[in-house]
Amino acid sequence: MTVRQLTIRGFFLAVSLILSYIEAVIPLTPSIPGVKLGLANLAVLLLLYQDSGKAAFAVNLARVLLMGFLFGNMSSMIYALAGAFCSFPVMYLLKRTGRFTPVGVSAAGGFTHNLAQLAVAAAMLQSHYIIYYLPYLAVAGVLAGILNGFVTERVNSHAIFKNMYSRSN
Amino acid sequence: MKYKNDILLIGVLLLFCFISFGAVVLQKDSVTDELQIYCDGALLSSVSIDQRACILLYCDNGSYHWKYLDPSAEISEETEAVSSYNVIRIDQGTVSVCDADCGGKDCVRQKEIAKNGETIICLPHRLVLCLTGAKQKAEDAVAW
Repeated sequence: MTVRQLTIRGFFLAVSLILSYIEAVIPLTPSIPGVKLGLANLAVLLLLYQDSGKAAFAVNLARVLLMGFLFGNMSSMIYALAGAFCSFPVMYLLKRTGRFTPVGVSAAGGFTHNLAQLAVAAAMLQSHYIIYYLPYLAVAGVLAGILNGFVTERVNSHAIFKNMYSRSN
Repeated sequence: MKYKNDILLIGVLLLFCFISFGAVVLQKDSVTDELQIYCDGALLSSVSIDQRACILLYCDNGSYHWKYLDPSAEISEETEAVSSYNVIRIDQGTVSVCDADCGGKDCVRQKEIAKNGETIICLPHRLVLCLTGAKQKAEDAVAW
């Protein structure tokens, strides 16, 4: 790991952490628990495109653990971990196919993230009634993912990010 | 077009959403008369929703308790003495959570429920409120 890589990854970790924090203190929950924008995924997506899958996953994992210890509790961390572990492989593989823009990658990521969290909620509450939330959460995940995807695409094509790892700047 | 594959992918995902939405809507039927209260996956109590009542639900030393509140009394007086509580309001066929001391208060913000199969969930307190109908129970009885 070069100093440049270390710096950039640390920077993205800080950005994703503050985005998570903002979402935690200013919730956008329209009556259904678990519906959120998932802004922290912006940093993860950007790293996935600019750096490597390994770096993006490491930063995502570090963010979830830090969020859990700093502002959350055990159960919020379990939800976040489930979301991260399920959505990241999907986003990584879709990105690797090279057929999708960040919009599709992020939409599928949001979708799997919410599905995974719903599955964890059903297991923790030991209740199948929670399945009634599935369509709402699935749609919310896709929509939030599309939004994040567009932002990622815009930022990703910006000159500063294009040359993030080149020695020239 | 650059987004062609993305649109296809998102279309498939949304199709899944619509199918699951349809399945959920079909599951619900309008006949409902009973509120089931689940704590930690176990059925704590079933109460009729054809009434006007307030129920205080709280956790004491790891076990769950519930009791009816006097609707005219101040709720805060009752809730001050307990922790991990939710106050459920039943009003002639609709059920909502009107107060709770969980972190996000998602349960309080959730819309009131009135139809069979609808739920209010409080994740921090591991609480599930679910409406069930007499009709559904009759069908279950036949099936079993």
